Amino acid sequence: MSASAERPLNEISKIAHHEEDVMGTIVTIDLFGDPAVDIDEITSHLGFAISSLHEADDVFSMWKPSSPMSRVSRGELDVADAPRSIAEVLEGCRAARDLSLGWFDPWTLPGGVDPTGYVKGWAAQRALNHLLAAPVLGAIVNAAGDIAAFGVPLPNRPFQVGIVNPASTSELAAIVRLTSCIATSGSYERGPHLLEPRSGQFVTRAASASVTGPELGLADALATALAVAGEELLAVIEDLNEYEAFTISAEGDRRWTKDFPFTGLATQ
Amino acid sequence: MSPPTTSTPTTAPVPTTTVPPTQRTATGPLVNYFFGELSVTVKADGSRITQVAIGTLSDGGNYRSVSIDAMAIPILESEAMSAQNATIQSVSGASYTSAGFEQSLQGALSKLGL
Repeated sequence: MSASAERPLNEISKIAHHEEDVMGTIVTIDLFGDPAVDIDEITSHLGFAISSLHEADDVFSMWKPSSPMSRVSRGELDVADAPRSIAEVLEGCRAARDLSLGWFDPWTLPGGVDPTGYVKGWAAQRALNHLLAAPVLGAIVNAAGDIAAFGVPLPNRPFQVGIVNPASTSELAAIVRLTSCIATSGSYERGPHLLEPRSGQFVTRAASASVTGPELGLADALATALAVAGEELLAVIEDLNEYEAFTISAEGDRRWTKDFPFTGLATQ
Repeated sequence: MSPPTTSTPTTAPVPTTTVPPTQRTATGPLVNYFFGELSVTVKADGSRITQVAIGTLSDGGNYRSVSIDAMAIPILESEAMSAQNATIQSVSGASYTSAGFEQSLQGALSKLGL
C-alpha cells in the first residue's frame, strides 16, 4: 500500500470520473490521460457515451412494459418494425447461444425472449466506442461489473481490474490485466435466478464466473452461461480464440483457461 | 518482540509512537432505492476505510429485491475499497448497484471526513 499521504498511482492520470444512473444500475466511466486536455471536448464525447446508454435503456429495458424490446418479447412488435439495435442484439444472442452450446439461451426464459444477459455488456461497449475519438490515453466503462476498456491509464501500464471474491465481497479474488473486456456473473448476482436452459431448473454451479474477450456482450453472455454450466463450458471457452474464463465455486475452488490474463497477483 | 512489518519504504524508518487505531463508524442517510430504503454504514481506521456495509435495508417484499438483498449489494463494498487500491482501476463482480447506495455511502463518508 502506498504511503498514506500520496495519491494512488491510478488517480494521477484520471481526467474524468462519471457515474450515470441508467439500466437499473450505476454505470461508471473513467477517462485517463493528460490533465491539461480541453475539458469541453472531453465532456462532449462523454455526453455521446451517456446518451447511448439511455437509448439502450429505453429500447431494451425489460422493466419497462412499453419498451420496444418488451413489446417484441410479448409478440406485439415485429423485429423488422423495431429499432435496428434489437435485430443486432438478437443476432448477437444467437451467436452467443451457439458458442455457449445453448447454455446461454435467452429464448428459453419464461415470459419471452430476454436479452438482458447480453445487452448490459453490449450497451457498455457501445458507450465506450463513443469515446474512441476523445483526446484520452485510455477509457473504461463499468456497467455493474461488466467492463469495457481501450488504451491505458498511464503510458506503458495496462488497465488492471480486480475480480470480487464471492466468499468475501470486500476482498478481491484476482487481479486481471484488461486489454478489452471482462464480464462477471455468478450465483450472488441474482440469487436463484440463473436458469439452466436444458432442464428449466434454476441452478448455480459457480459462485463467480468471469470471461474476458474483445466483445463485452458475448463475454457477458458467456459469463452468465458459465456460472450455470461449469467445467463443460470452461473447456469450450478454452478452445475459443480470444476469450478466456475464470470460475470460483461455492467452495472456493478456482478454475481457469490456460491464458486467462492474471497479472500474477492475488490468486490464492 | 517487534511488531509485524508490512512493506517497508527504502528511506530510513521514522520512529513512531504506538497509538491505538482511530476506529470510527458512521451511517449515511436512509435513502430510497428502487425497492425500498437503505442506509450505508462505513467503518474507518484513521483515514482508511475498513468496511462498507448495508446498515439497514427494507424492501417492499418484491421477489427481485430478495435476490438483491442476498448478495449483490455487498459488491459495492469492494468498489468503495478499491478506490484505495493503487494497482487497479476498476472492479468486476456481479452487482445491482443503485443510486441510493451511492448517496448513503457519500453521506457516511462525509460524516467521517473522508
